[in-house]
Amino acid sequence: MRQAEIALFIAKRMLSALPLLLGVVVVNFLLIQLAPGDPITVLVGDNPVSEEYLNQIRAEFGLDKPVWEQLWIYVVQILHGNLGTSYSRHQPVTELLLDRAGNTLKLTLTAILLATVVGGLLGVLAARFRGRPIDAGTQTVTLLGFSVPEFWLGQILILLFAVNLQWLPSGGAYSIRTGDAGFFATLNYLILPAVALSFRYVALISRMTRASLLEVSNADFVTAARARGLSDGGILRRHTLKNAAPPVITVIGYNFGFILGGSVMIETVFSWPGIGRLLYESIGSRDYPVLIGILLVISVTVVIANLITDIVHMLIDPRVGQKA
Amino acid sequence: MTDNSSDSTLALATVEREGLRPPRNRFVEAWSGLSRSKIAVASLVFIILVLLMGAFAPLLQTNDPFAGGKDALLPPLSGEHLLGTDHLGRDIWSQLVNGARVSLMVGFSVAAAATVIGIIVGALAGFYGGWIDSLLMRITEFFQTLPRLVLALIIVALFGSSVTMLIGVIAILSWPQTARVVRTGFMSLRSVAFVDAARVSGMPRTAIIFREILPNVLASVVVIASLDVGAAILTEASLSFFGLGDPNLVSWGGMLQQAQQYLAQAWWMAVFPGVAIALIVLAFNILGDGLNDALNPRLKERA
Amino acid sequence: MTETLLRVENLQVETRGRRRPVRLVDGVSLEVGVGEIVGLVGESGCGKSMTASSILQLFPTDSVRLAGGEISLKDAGRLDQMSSDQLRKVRGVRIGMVFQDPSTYLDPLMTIGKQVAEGLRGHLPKSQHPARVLELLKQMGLPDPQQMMKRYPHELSGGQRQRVLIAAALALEPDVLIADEPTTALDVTIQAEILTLLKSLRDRLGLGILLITHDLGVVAEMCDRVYVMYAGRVAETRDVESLFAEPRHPYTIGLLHGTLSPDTRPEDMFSIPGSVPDPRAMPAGCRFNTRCPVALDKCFADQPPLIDVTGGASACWRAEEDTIGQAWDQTAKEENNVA
Repeated sequence: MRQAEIALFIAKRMLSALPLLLGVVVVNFLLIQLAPGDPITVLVGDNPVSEEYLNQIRAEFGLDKPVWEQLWIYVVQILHGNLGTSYSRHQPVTELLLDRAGNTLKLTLTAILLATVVGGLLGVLAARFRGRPIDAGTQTVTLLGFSVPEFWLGQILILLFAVNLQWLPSGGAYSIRTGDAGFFATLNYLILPAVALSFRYVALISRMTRASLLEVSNADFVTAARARGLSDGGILRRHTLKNAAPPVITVIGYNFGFILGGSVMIETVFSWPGIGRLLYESIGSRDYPVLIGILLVISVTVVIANLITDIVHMLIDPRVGQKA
Repeated sequence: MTDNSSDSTLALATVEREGLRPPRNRFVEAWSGLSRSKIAVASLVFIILVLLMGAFAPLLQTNDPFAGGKDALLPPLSGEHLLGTDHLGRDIWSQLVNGARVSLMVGFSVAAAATVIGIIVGALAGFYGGWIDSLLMRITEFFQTLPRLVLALIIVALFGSSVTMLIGVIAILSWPQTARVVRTGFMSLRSVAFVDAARVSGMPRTAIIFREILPNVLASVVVIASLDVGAAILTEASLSFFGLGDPNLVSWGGMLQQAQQYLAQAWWMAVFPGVAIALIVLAFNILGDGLNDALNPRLKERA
Repeated sequence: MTETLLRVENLQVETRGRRRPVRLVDGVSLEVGVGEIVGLVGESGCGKSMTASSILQLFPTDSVRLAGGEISLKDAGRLDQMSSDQLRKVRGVRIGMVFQDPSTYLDPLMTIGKQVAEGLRGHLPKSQHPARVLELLKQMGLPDPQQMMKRYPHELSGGQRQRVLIAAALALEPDVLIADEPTTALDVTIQAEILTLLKSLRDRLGLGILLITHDLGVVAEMCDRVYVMYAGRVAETRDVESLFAEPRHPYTIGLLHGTLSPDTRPEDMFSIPGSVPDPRAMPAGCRFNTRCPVALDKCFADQPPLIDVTGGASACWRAEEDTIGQAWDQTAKEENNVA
């Protein structure tokens, strides 16, 4: 019976994500239409191009047709994976993005992992030793995490570790000599950017972990478990951790958009060859197709991340999706 | 909270609420609550100082922040350049005090705009309910899903980077939180509990609105607004770092952008503006937290 | 009186923390015997829940603590002097406890079966847990116990949840059950079911039950003896018949007049004027003095001890006077004449 519930929930959530996705596409489309210059410029730029190329673009995107049809065509093109062509690099946008996506994911996922471990640990310690120095220390770190601009933190880390101490490289994802030689070669280059990117998340996660743990430790069902003779350790394992987890997991999932935004900044500071760096470069070169393409991809990713978080939440907590 | 789970806390709280102190104006109470936290007061003072610094920037600067010269890349404490100079010979200190203007102006404007939009949307949604509520909530959810920074970057890249544009874009992405809170407050106006309370307590409904519901909503809105200012300052700094700030104005983010190339040679170009940003945002965050504690007291456990 | 299982003597519970400690329970003594249902009744804030929580030291918050008194359990010794490890061996094993709101006292993420079986760990081999759980669920009158074991708390009704909690509390067959307002959060019809269940458990298992409630009706229906608490102390303790027939403390009498029952005439009803004193500023003498219609000068000077009367004792200087039952007559007349 539970399987049926789960399947139904997933179906419903996916269905309600569709309007969001549609909204994202429409916003993108609007930006193309509203951007200075006509849509041709947005899709092709003001590089001199051949007449046939212009006609090809016109045909592809139906630019001489009424707006509604254009939107439809746009949607169809997107579903086919056609996001236009970068004119400064003469490559299809989709190709560009796919090239770089891997690197961005490497960075983001590492940062999330790091933040979860560090943030979780800090949160647990702060809750356990509530009121004592480590609690205050964690709360300070949390406040700082929300106040310090991540890109500046990146710069400071570079100053400290790359310039001053010369322990770590200051940019790039791999040295010219070794090339993209796999995970461990990249590790050196990954550390500083991942740390800088994770800082804000550490703040979020540690705060939520602490709050969640404290709330659960005071919960009535913990008292009831004690009344049955359970030891503190047993309560921790069987009740506290499981009940404290859902809010933390949802916090991680629902803030994925922030981490993506942060990665844009961090990739720029560290010249990390990901989508964020591409964004920076494309802004500089006014490469509109790439910009719009990136916006679309990132928005869609966030919608999907939220969807996944909803589903994971539902799997952990049987109450989600039920009528009260 | 169950009735019996905190016999004593309930007893003590009831006693405190009921008898031993005369009821005071909500705002006086809030101020006294806030002033109990020294660090919140310190933050408030700091913010005021920075405001003054920005307001009197032309008086405080030692050089024209745009005027370069021959003395490029001087370290701090080199003659008249308190904090050194940048790669074009411009005085860092002067840039710093002028940069405060942009940051604070953007911060406050965004918070104000987002608050206004949020109140309107939230009030409509909460008060009317029904399909208006559903529609507005969908829109709110949508705006919350959009990746804030990326969208702001791209919109500004497409449409130009005047200060007005910056403020507009950031504000549009900041109102959902306020809207939610306001909506909740207004929803209670339609609830059965509200009508019952009106009947039972004998207070006319307008009195309940103005003495109970509105102050509560206002309290949350103020807290969110304070945090919004900090977030807006960070977003503006990010945009400027990307080269999308208003080119006619000095901004801390812009200073950081230029510092990027000279990290190895001129650490002071990066450190000072960054510290400034961190401190002012920190101050707003602490203030927001302090306001939250003062305006929304909960039955806290006495440790 | 049957053999005493649980005895509490001169219990004191106070707040702990930076401020000056406030005494919430000030010298309460009670006893529960084998097969007895003993009621502990009083209004909100009188300290009855604190008293109940102090027996197993399961206070809902860190800000109160056991400050004095003796709590003794037959064949176990002084509970108030036990270490947490020793206490753990008493909890669930000798004394079980159920609480007020079944919706918050069950872990929402754990199945019913697992929660009921929780106390069995270390006492019964794991393979025997399911059978025992089934047996318990059946005993509590829960439908379809096999299915119920796999359900989650939110799928159950309030009454069902409370039954589950009682099952969990009795899993290891304790001698004593402390029930802290077990029916207050439930519908009136379900209340009756749960109370009936408790009674039948007492009959079948010889449980001693300490039943905390604010509802005198429940006391009348369920209890053999009752302790009436007021402002952290016991005002009166009697066997139930004597209490209702012939209450001997102005507070109790006042309470009874506030309760509608088939015997009460509407013109006799009123509510006790005034309010419970602030625990931080308890009056000298009897705590009820400012609200009492028949207080003497003595009542403002010396706190009355429990004075023996038929069927129990009453903490009132005038407890032995036979006219005490008319203490509120004047007030009742006034209130109902004005109306």
